Amino acid sequence: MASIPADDVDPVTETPFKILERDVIATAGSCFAQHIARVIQENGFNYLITEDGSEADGYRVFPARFGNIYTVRQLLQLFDRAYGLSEPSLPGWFRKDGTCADPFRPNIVFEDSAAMKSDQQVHLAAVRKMFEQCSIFVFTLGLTEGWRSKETGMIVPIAPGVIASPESSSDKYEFYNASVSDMVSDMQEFIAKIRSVNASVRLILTVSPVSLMATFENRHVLVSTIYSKSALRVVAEEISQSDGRVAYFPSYEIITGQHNKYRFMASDLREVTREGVDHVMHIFTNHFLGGDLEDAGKTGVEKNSAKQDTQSASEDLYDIVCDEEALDL
Amino acid sequence: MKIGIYGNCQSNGFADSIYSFLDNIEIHLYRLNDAIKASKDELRRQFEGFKDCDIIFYQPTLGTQIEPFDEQGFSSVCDKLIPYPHIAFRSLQPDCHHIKHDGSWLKGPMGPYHSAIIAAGYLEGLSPHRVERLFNSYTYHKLEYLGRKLSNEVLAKDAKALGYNFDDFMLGKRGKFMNTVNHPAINIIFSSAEQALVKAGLKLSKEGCQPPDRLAKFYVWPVYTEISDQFGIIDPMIFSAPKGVNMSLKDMISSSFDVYSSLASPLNTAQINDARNFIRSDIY
Repeated sequence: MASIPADDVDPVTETPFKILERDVIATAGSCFAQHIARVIQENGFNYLITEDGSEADGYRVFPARFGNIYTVRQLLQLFDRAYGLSEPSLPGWFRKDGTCADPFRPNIVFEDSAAMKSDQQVHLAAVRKMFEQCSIFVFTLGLTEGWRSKETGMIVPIAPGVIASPESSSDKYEFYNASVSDMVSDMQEFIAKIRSVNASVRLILTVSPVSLMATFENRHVLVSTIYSKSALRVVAEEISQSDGRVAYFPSYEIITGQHNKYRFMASDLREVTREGVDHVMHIFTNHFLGGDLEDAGKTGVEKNSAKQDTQSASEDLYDIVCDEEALDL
Repeated sequence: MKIGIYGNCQSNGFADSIYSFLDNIEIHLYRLNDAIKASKDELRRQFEGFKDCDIIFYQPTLGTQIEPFDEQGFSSVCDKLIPYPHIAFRSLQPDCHHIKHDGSWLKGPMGPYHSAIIAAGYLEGLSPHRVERLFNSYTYHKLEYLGRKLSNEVLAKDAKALGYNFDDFMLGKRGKFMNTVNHPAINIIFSSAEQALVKAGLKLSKEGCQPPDRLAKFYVWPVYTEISDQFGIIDPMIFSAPKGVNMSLKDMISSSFDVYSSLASPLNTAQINDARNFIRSDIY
């Protein structure tokens, strides 16, 4: 690869399906998924929004206001909560300013617990609509590490106490680090379930190239990052290799491949620059757009290139809402 | 002209529809519902009323047959018999069913009609709130409420055998057409009557105006949203009982739980058992 200009390295050979004009796209996943969601909307794809409101209140980051979904178990849990298969029984967490945060999406705050519970019903109805109406579901696998309630087993996206805290002491939650086999099993279960409400849905899996900010394992964060990304990559591989309606898209490889010499990493060596995201989405567009969307995609890419000049210079990461940023390191 | 009509509770709407298409007719209507309770003298008296009819419309596929109110009996007194279908259809309201309990039909907030999901949720110890949350497309998929093969419906078989066509209804093009699984709405009864008159070779003397829906005064079961979406039908999630009682799903669950909690012996139907198995395997 050293003999080829880095911009010309395209690791995608073929995709199992194309995205057509009639396709409706939904995305979910870690903070990197927010980048994908944003660029998909800008590039003329038909992006699904089932719960709408102002971006300042957490809407339009994803199709419904569920925030970042870092783990496969969290995704499966979202489905189960939406369809009443498990009870969303976690009480609200409280922030220092007295407002109540939904533990399932801690960046979404309410005046009190009653308002949170009331909104959950509306929110979960919008989640159901998303699962049922999308024709393409893009999921970015972000982390293997997470936190779960000891009492109920419910998964939360960030350790209690970082953004907000449960009313009683936070020792009711425990750390977990998912294995490959657990994640493959959870992903298979999720796919079976989403297909039961949306038989024709196709999935695109990606792995976030964003490194872990911290680890709860008793080891260096670099070691945990490599485990996490490796395990997630294996999960994506196993699922996409065994299912013709699941594609793997190599966002991780495009950003972290040696040929790019870390040029798409932000100054913190963790986040991905706008230029990197655009490069990923340029390759995504080239391969996934069907004939009837090629023009729209081209326009979008051109439009992005113009934006890139000003935005990448300032390393504007355009308002990505990352729960991990709240970690006090 | 005198017209005889025999059938179940659907025959009132059928007679009303016939009146709306023809002038200067006399209708002798007798219903199975009355025949079941009638004395021999009353049955004989009612059958006399069919003897001078020019045409008799009757439902040949009723579950209960009472002599001489059948093809053989009617053919002995009238040359022109026109069968019309017994309209029953489960695909719009697949959760709605009757529960036989201790030898009789169990009465609940929707009379003899019960939700299998609610009954199963009660039996499995779920809270009313959790049962309410099960009313979604995942549950309906697991219970095979969605994507049913319409050609397997009683209505489809009966209509085909008798030469009637209700495809537009079954494909959702004519809106909601069942009040409950065995009580059709007047729109399909009206269509049935119109087709029956054409079969009889009668020239319709007027365009016909759809009469009021008598069966809608009893119980009206909603077509659940995800199911109505499949048929392209819009129907509010309201359970309607006589005397203008309208219940939300939450009210329906609460009232059903009240009834079930007073029973000494457990509920048991195939549909409830299917829903219980779903709850045991998928709910945590």
